[in-house]
Amino acid sequence: MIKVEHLCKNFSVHKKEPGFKGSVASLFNRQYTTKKALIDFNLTINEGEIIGLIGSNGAGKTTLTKILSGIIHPTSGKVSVLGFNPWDKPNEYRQKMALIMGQKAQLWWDLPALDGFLLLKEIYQIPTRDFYDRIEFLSEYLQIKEQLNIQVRRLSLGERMKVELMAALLHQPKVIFLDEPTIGLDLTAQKAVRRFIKEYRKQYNPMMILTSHYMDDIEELCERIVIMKEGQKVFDGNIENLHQKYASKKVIKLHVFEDDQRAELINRFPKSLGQIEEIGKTVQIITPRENVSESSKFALNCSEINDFSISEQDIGNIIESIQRSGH
Amino acid sequence: MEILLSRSKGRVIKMTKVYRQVFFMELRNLLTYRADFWINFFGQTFFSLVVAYYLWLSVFEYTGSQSMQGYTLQGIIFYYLMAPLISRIQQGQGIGFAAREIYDGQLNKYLLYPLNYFGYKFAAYFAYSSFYIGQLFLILFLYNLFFYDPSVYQFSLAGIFLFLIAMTLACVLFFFLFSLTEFLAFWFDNTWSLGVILRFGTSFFGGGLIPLKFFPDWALEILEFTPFPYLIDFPLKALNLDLTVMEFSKSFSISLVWTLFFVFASLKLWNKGQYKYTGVGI
Repeated sequence: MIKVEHLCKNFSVHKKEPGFKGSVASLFNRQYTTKKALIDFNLTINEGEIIGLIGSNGAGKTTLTKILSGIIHPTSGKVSVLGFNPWDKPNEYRQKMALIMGQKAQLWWDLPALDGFLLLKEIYQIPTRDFYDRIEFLSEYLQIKEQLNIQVRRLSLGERMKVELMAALLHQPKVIFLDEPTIGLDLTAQKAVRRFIKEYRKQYNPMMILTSHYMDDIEELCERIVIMKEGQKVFDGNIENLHQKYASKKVIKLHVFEDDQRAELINRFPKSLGQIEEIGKTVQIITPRENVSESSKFALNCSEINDFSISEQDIGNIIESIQRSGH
Repeated sequence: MEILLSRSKGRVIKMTKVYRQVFFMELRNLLTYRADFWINFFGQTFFSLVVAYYLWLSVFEYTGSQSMQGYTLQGIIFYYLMAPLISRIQQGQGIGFAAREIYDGQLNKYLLYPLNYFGYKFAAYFAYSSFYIGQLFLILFLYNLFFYDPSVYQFSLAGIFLFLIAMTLACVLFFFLFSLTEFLAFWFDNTWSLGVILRFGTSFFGGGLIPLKFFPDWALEILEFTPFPYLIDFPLKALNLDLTVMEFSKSFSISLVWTLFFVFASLKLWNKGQYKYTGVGI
């Protein structure tokens, strides 16, 4: 279980006026400002749960991940992960935890991944047989077997992320922090990483905290999401809760082949029911939940429809509006 | 009590395995780029030796003397063959490793692993040092084979043994002395120039640039109580059996006290620095 109580983290940041004059001035009189990365942050995560941490850049997601993994010390507050205080760095805790950072390589750059894995085998005291079984399972699933003997620096970004995932999971951690694991990857690699995380979770059921800017990661992997803004939590719940609480409107999409029929529908649609627009051969209506039935009936009666769907508003847009408004 | 003993024994065995693995991994790292390897192996030694030879040849010719501060031309060339090799043994994988990792956030990974940072880093550093010790012995062997001169250097097992003791202590001293300055990066982010100054200082006052015998007596009396002579001059004298038992014991004791001081100071700074660490970087 992870329990975070009244967590605060302030950073002292050096401020410099732009230009040469500012650079010279900062040699003699340096100005600092305090940046509040986390403000009275509370969070509880239960065994086996996977949560998605969402927020714009500078919201405090990575700072929280770093504190939970024990890399940095908080300014104040209490944290307990699996019963340990992370920044005391007890080896018992570090044996059970893994942090995967999409933007930072942890494996040894000039050596093949397998050489790095051998060191991790000793660090985490993995029995030889288990070690090779896990290498077999992970490399097979991630389809990276052939690349394990190649220098890490010569691997593609997607391959590197896969070997990083392998390195982090060799010791079968109970809690895993994934900080933007799909950043910079192409769509195929993103899908492969997501599929793997899903499968791994099904088999080993670890606690996971996932930070990502990609909504597909969050929607596909997380049962619960926590939205952060300027170091504070602005939403904590599952995706249905998010829709119920913040998505007062639904999206109706109608595929109409004939140009004149699309034009007629757009002209005749009552503005009181919602907002209508044309996107290629599709007509999109964004309407309040209570008007869905009436809007659909109107559209279906009005024109010859080739395809029709009703969906929730895009989760990315909802989150964006929460982050803009702050609640 | 027995359980405690067996537990700590188990921990020691585990750590030994880990650091052995780190040691060999770094050796593999060192052998990765073969062009760099060969240039590093012979190029540096050859280049510094040629420069020293022609420089001191002209000094001896100009002054017309047969020896200077007890060094003949052959003696000084031998000195300039050995001093850079000893200096390289100390520098291991190069200075700035910790400061750079603090600066670019690579330190994160060492904080995540269940191991001791100093143990890991020293094993990595010592892998390079051990390799360069091997290089020194190989060059010493070739020197004896082609330029044997008993008035300059006489091979002896006692000399090799004392050299290994002095060199190991010098490596530990150097490692923690540099760690201390590098951990200042927790506060100042970039301390590269401090490392360069220290590197020059240790080389100059340690006997890496000119033999300490060329220093005035008053300076030598002061230097004796600083850590510097124990980095290059002491191992080289031990190799040449240029020390009495008393002198060796005295040098060893002073060096040990400095080493313990820097170990303690580095650990303190490391613990304090972690409160300042932000883990940001490239």
